Amino acid sequence: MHGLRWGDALVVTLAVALVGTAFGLAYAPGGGATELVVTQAGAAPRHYPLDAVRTFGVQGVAGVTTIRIEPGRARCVDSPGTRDICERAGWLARPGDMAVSLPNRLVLRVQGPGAEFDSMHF
Amino acid sequence: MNPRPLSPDLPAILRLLLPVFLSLLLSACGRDGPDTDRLTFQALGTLVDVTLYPADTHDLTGIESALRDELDAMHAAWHAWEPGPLGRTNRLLEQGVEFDAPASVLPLIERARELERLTDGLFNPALGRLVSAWGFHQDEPSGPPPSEETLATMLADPPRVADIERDGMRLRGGHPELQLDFGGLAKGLAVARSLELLTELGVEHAIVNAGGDLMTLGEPAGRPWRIGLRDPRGTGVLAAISLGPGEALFSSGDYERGYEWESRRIHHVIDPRTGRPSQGIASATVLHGDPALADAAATTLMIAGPQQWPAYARRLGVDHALLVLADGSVELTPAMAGRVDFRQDLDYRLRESGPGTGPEPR
Amino acid sequence: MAIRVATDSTASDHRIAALAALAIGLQVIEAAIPSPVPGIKPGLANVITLVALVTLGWRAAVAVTLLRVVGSSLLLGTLLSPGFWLSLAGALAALLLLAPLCRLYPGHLSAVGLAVAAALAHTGGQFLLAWTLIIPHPQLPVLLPPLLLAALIAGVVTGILSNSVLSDPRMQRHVRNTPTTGTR
Repeated sequence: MHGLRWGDALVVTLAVALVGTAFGLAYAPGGGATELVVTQAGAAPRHYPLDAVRTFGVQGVAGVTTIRIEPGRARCVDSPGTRDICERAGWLARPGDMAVSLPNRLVLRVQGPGAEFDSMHF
Repeated sequence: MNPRPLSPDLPAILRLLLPVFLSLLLSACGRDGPDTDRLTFQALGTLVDVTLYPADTHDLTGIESALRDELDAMHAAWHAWEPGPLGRTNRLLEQGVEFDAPASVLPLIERARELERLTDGLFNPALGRLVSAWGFHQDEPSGPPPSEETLATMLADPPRVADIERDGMRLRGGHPELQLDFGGLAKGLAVARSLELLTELGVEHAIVNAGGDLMTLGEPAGRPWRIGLRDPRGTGVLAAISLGPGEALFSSGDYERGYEWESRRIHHVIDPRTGRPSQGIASATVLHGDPALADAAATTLMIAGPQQWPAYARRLGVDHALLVLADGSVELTPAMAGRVDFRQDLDYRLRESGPGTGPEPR
Repeated sequence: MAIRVATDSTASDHRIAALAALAIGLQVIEAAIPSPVPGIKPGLANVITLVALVTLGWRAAVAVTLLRVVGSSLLLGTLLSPGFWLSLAGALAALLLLAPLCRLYPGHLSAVGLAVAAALAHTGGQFLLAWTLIIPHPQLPVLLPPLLLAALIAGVVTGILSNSVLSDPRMQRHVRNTPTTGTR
């Protein structure tokens, strides 16, 4: 187009990169969860980074709770218990999200640098 | 275009844009990493979640086991339907004999007596039989609900905590139907005791959260505690609230315990006036410095209903209350409005705690 | 209000006043048109800022912009309201970035580059003010990316408009003859 300079292309490219980065940071899957913490009655909490896809089981008093991790999120795939409370918690992606398996006395919580709340009231 | 004196171009542009870039990046993610540790375990029949500040300074395992022991002891002592000190007390109260009150139960009875008086019987922990009749004295609540005749009989001359006669440590039940159920009070006292225990263990800044009801101890350096209020009707965050030291946030809601019966939701907050689950208010949230009062007040306001809750809030000395009505709209006191930061577009009304629009409580 | 920026030229004062009047007019018209998304406006008055910048220089652009911000808020009744401060913060942020960038005009940057950079700085400045002072809301950064995207689009549009205004032969005379950027 008439009157454009090479610097325009540079500025627009940088601007697009900036906007893209802002979107990426604000709406990244998980919004900042970087780690899954599994706590089980009577055991030290176990930490799992949310970096790559994997599925594993945790043995509890009532059976095995199967956990799936994907970058930035984690979920309970299968767990003993008739009401599927753990499974229905869905993907845990925002720091502080939790899923609980009552029969296995197991708590899954994701945490990350972006935790907005110290505690949730409900 | 004629040439112009130019500064070095590419680096200049980069130098200029870089600070903008960085400041925007920082503004997008400029929060600090977690400065707290969390303990999560099951106790009191629910999930207990303890936030400790600052991070990496506490003996987490030691604190968890001490807290768990204390909470388990309270849970056993105050359980409404499993055998234990409260179960024994209920049996002796029913028999109408004079007996020595268990030290673990007496403070609850005295606190309940006071709150029952303050609420003129709207908060009535002596109605254990009624709660049981509705199917809530079991781990998994279920129907059938009591019949009209049963309810009419139970409401003819309902027992009250005031019917318990006390002489020093000696108690005597004055009503054959009296059965204590501290559902709307025990958690408040358990949280209060947990914070005392944490203080004894040298913790200075913490939140004890038992199944969503919580209280703060101290506050982090340079900032208040940040609490999210989960939306009782959905999965998101309804509002955010900042708490200072020694503030308790308790809720009572129809979503907590209940079951479906003939496509109707039967929930666990029973209105002593009707003998049925309370209506009109889906959840009541109270912020107060006294967790036991906050706990009982949340139950009371929910029972009081949309007409009368402001009057009961005033009687209880509650300035900070937030209620989600059955239609999803929100009512809150002006003091509470100054504390919460709504995260959703919603329809809310301010109501001063006071006489309310209905008749004055009896 | 420093209207007498070009110290020796009343002709320059007149031009600044005329440009400011145009900018105020554009801003008021824009305010009268409801925006589909609150908080997002094309910012057509920025075309005037850019014209002032490349014809009369940076100081004139500052004068035109300040006159526009204050003048339009007087007309709209928003003087000293949060909206006014946001507008001022955005305008100042944009001007700060334009101060060095305008030296690259027109050899290495056209009005499009200037407008895009200014639009992003405008939004950034507004956002920082909103976040730090007016409503320090932890969720607010979630609003930033769409606002930045809107600013980018608005910047391209106002930049193209500015380019076409400046390429008009009658404007071109001023651009060529006014030693704007080299004198600072």
